[in-house]
Order: sequence, then C-alpha cells, then structure tokens
Amino acid sequence: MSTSIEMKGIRDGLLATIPNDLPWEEGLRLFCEHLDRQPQFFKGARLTVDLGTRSLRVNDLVRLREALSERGISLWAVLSESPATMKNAQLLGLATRLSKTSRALAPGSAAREMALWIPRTVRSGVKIEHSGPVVVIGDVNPGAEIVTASSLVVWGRLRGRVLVGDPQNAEAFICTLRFQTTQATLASIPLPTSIPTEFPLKIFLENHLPAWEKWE
Amino acid sequence: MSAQVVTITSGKGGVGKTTAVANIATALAAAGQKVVCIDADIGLRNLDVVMGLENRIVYDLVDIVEGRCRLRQAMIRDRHFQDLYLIPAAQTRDKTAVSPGDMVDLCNELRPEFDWILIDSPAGIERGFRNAIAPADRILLVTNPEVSAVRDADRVIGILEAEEKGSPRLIINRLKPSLVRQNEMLSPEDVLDLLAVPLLGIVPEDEAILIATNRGTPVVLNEKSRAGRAFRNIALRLMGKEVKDEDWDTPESFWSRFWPLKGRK
Repeated sequence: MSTSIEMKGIRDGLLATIPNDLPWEEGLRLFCEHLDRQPQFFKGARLTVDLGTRSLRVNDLVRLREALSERGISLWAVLSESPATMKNAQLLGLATRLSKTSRALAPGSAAREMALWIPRTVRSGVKIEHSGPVVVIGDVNPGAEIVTASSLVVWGRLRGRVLVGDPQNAEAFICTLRFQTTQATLASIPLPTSIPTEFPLKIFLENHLPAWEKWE
Repeated sequence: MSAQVVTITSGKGGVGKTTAVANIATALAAAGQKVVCIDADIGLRNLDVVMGLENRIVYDLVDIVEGRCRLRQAMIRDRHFQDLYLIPAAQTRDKTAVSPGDMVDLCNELRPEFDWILIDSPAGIERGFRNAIAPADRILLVTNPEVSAVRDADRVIGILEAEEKGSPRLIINRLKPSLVRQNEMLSPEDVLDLLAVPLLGIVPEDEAILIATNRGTPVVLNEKSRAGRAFRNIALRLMGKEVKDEDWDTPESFWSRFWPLKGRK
C-alpha cells in the first residue's frame, strides 16, 4: 500500500497523486504536510490533483482548494475515476482532465462511454469537459462552456459556448429547447448564426455541413 | 433571540452592495429590530462612510479577530437608531487577515443578542467573498440591470449552489424604467429569466441615494425617496411580510428627488 504523495511536472503545471488507499482525511493531511515541507517551491504553482477512485463531496473539494489557496497554490484541475467527484469538481469550475498534450483519455475508457448528467443550469464561469455525451437539465448560460467529444443535449436554453464532437465524430449532435448561442461548433465546424432560435432543435452534420430539424 | 445572518454580495463591484446593506439595516432597525452590520471588505471599507460613522471608529473587525479588543469595543452604535450597530472593516490590512472560520465564530457570538446580522461582502469571488458567505443563513445578491453585472451575478449563484449555500434572493438595483422602455437596459424580466432565482426587490435609480450617501444618512430615512421606499419594502419582505412591488414605471415628481434630508443628524 502506497502512503506517499507522488508529485511530477506536466505541461499544465504539477500533477499530485494522493494515494487511493488512504481515507480522504488522512490523504489530505498527508498532502498538506508534503506541501509544507517545501512551501517556497510550491508557492504560485498551478496544480492538478489525481484523486483516484474516491468519491468526494463539493465541501471536500472546497476544503482541498482552500488548503491549497492558503499555501498560495492554485488548484485548476482534479482527475478522478469517480463520476460523483468529477461532477462536483465541474460544479466548482475545475477542469477534470488534462489538455491533450499532457494526457489524453484512453479510447474506450469508462469515462469515454459514460454520459455526464447535469441536473441543473450551467452558470457563468463553469467549464465542463467530458469525453462522452453530456445531458443538461436546465440552461447553459452565457459565460459557461461545455466541451464534449460526443453529443450534447440541453433541456433548456443554450446560450453559452459549446464545442461538441471531436473532428472525427460526424455522428455528434446538439439538441436543445432554444439554440441561442453564437459560440458553437460541431465536430470543429462553427455553427452559423442563421440557425433558428425560437423552437426546439436538433443540429447535426450532413455531408460535413451543419443541418438542423425540429426536435420533437 | 438568535439572529439571522444575511450576507449581501454581488460578484461585480460598484452595483450598490454597501448602499443596500446600510439601507436594509436602517430599515430593519426602524421596524424595531436589533441589527448589527459587519463590513467584510477589509482594505476597502465603505460601510462606515455610508452610515456616517467613519469618525467613530476605534477598533475594527481584524482587531476583534486578533484579540486586540473585545467584540463590544469594536461595535459602533448608529446615530439614528439605538439598536443598530456597525463592526467596521480594517482599512490597512488585506482579506487574509480574517478566515471563514473567524467569521463563523464572530457571528455565533453575536447571534444571541441580535435579530439580524448583515454582512457587507467585498466584490469578487476570492477570499473576502468566502469569508462573507461562510456564516450566512441567507444570501442576498445585488445586481444592476447590465449584462456584465448579471454575468457576474450568475457566476456567484453557481458558486453558492456548488457550496451548498442554496439559491440567493435577488435585488435589482438602479433600474431605469425609461431606458428599459427604449430597450437600452435589461428589464427585470430579462434578469430573472437568466438568473432564475427568487426576486426580493427592485430599487429604481434615484439621485437621492447619491445625496444621502454623501451625507452619511441612509436614503430609507427620506420618506419621499423612491429608492428609500424600495429598500423599506425589501426589509419588510426579509422579515417575512408580504409587500407588493410598486410600479416604478411612473413619472417621479421633480421635487421628490430633491427632498431635503436636513433635520436628520
């Protein structure tokens, strides 16, 4: 059983791994002790924390962020195999995966297949990144951003920025009750402003060009 | 007695948080409630000025937290109401001088003596904001009907929801019905449509606020001011009373805007 904090440099800053076998309180305590051994080294750092499979609540993540903030460290992403932890991290506006240059999600991994269910409005400042489909029951407000390699369903008004479908994914689509954004791409193709905004729509690609139909 | 802790916040600066705190607190005190205001904007304090108490400050919030004075020594009694107090912020320190835990402890100490504890939050979503929301039972969110202020308010609502603080109640401040009619300003419906949180009240733009602020006399003490009436209504709603919203879209009398505040100390 590993009980030491692993720390390594990545393109996005530093990646810390808190041993999965430790209870969360113990892991957090050990992590803080590790940071306090070299406070000057970590001060000002941009940190990603790998939380393993543990399921953490919003308050746990807030405590982690505050513990880092008190040490002058910025928490910008958490990695986790727990859907609950990922969802809670996204609610706090934290990234939940590294940029492609740092680490790509393995094709066919559980996270790639699993739909992310968001039963509330996605508000300004929140960025959601997910490999699989994303379903929002609520609005996507201006200032919010959703990036998915798969499809997006919004049971509400879509007014934020959305990047849907990776360039190879011609099957990706967007469904929404009101398409009211000017910042949307589908498989990297920008969607035109001529798309109707007054009724529910399904937007998809047809011969590599954006097309839409009433969503009924 | 166990006070309700109400934090007034906004995200964007300059939307009228401090004015709202001073006026709601004064209106609550005028309604017979025991109220204490805490200025949590350490380093940029203003609530003392708006309440006309800046010359009476001896100790401040940081002095209490760091043990240089007792709680009572830092509480300044209002000039108009016996049961209204202010705990001012420190002007020469920064937000890290106080922690969220300190604010919770402070409010717990005050709760038995008051009906209401109103906390004036700094702008932004950093440490000062987190200090201000930590002890809150309820949160009031002030916004102006402007795209940038509403965007920041939306960000704050997202953070409050994520931190399980519940939905705040909204105050739309500085509404100009004439601009709404010309489609030059967001209407209250537009703001509510986007933010989707309960409305506590609408405060119309009113020059009497500027005059009152410069005099250090909250505008709720001006019976003729439209903004003053709006803040009194908000205070009543906070107390659980049902008060209908006035129709702010009626022409304001010329003289009411210049209703003199003289006679008030």
